[in-house]
Amino acid sequence: MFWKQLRDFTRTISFRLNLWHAGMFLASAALLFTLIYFLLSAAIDRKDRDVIEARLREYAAVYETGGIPALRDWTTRVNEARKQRMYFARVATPDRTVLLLVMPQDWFDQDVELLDRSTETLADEWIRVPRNKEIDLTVAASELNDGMILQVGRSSDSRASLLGKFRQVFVMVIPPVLLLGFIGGAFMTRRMTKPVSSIVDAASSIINTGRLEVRVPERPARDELQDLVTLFNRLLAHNEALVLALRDSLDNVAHDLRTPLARLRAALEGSLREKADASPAQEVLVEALEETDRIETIIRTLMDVAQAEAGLMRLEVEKTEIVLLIDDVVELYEPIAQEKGIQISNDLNEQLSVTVDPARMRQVFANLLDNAIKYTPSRGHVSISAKQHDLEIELRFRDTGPGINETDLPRIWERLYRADKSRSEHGLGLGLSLVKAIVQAHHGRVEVASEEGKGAEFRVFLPVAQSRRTVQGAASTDTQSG
Amino acid sequence: MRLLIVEDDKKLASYIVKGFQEAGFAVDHCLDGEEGLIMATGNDYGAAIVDIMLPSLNGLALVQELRKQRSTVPVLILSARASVDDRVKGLQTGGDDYLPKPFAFAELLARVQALVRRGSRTMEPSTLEVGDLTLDLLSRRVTRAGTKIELQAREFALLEYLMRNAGRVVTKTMILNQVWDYSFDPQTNVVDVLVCRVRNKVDKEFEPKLIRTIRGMGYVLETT
Repeated sequence: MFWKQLRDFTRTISFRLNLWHAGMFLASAALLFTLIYFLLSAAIDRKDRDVIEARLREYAAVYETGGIPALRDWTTRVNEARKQRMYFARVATPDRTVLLLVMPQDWFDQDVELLDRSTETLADEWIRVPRNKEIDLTVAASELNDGMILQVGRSSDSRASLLGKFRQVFVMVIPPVLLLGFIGGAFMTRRMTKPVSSIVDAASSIINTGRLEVRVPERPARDELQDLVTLFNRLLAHNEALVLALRDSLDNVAHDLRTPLARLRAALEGSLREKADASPAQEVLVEALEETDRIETIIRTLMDVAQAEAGLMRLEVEKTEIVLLIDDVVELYEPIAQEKGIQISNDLNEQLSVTVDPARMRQVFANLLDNAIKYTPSRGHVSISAKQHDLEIELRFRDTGPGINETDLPRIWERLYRADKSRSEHGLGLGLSLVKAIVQAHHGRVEVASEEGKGAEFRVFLPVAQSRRTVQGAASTDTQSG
Repeated sequence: MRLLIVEDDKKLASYIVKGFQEAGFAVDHCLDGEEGLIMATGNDYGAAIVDIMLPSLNGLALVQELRKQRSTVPVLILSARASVDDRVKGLQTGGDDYLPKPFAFAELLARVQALVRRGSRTMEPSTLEVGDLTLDLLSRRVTRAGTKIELQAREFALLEYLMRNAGRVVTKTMILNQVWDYSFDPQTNVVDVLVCRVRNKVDKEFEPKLIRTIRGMGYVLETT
């Protein structure tokens, strides 16, 4: 259940938008960081480089004028003037014979080795070698006029440690910023997609309850989504008008048929009351009365079928236990089954709840059971069973009657269709089309399977209450928090 | 007891009027809504039967106007529109009951009598008696000539319905609607079988036979 909800949530547009948003944010932050990192690192280098290269030019000039001794004096003086960050200097031949070596106090022999190891030739213009966590060794070199090579260096603050601090700050800042971005993004996308979820709410409420007057709440904002909402509402209003017009004309037809029928029935009843004898005229009156009742039933059932097929049937849906409905219908039919010597077995015992209009669904089950009992011969068997599938509940009404001929099988759901064999029997041929229409109005479906001579099996599939709840649930959570 | 009938269909109205007169009611009849409203406000009726489709003022508007004037006369609305919406609308505007056309007169009579009973606030009797048959609504005990009769819940409900309408014909449709709250057209004779069961228990070993079948119409529980 939890995983399903999570999966449903991750499917929502707002979640995906948010994910994209966070991803983009992270990518641009990383890009920015890299850029700043390199700029910073270059800036650190340049600062040291400028200082050392100036010193290099100075030393080279001293060497040009006074040779090694002059340079030695000069370097000593330079270093004495400074308490720290003293300069390293070395003059060597290209084959690495050292002519002059000035070692600052904070330099060691290993440092020189480190420098020599990391370069191919002494004349490499610029070397920066990390000595330890805090200190880098930086050396610039230049070829002197007489072919000697002059190297000037200094220890400087480690680039790695400077940048490391920057990295640390970045790593510390990013998660809260990312979280803030995510929350802000979630809030924004919720707000932006709110019209969408309210459209979903409105549409599902119309489909589920048939209440055509439902509209999507409009907001003052004038954006594309609001345009969509306005258009959607106009569409709903248009549909409602069409449907109401259709319902009205259906009602009017029924009204126009019922009015004369009411007059006829009253007249027949009136004459029957007057003459309470057993004359042949009386017989005719009784038969006529019976027929008016039958016509009324046909009109009512046809209206029901027409309404359900046109999607106009108003369903008072509520969460209903299938077992209770079936028990109720079986109770109604138990006596007649006993009379006919038919055994009804009702295998429903588990709790199966569906969201249906109980009165309409009872009509469906009663029609199916009525049908099964009608066609099952004496000592026959009618069984009702149910099966829970993932998304729907299946109900089976199985009888041991004569079965249905292959040519009739696909047509039995049609209005007023009756297989030749059953023409003579009482009934209107509307029962099964009503069953189908009502089940379809509940977003379910019907099936029939039969082998001639071996009985028939009618199956009703109804969507499970839960599947509808998750659709609505996902939509409503969005609205609540958005 | 005086009744008001507002129905523009003269023929239908004449049958209804006649039927009620035979059942011992005094009946006033008018053909349009305006007149109906004047009659209803000027007289004291036990109940009013009002059609929805009326000239000058329709039935729903009439009932609404009546209720606005604080009239408490029980109103039964008649209509050839049978949809649930219309029924709900009829009851919401202030109607007390609703009967779709065409109807069995027996049912109209039964409903009007129930309305009148409710209107006059007479206490519901806790036992129903027809001849030597008695049915106790509280202890749910049924006896005939002092002999106890065992009935199942539905059989009890059926007998109760027949006894409440004793002397009047109740149709199979009425039984299906009232006793089981089912509205459909059974192709099997479910109702007959049930009536037959009750009859076996109530009538088989007793004289006179109380439950009579009226071919083509339904059943009647004889009062004598």
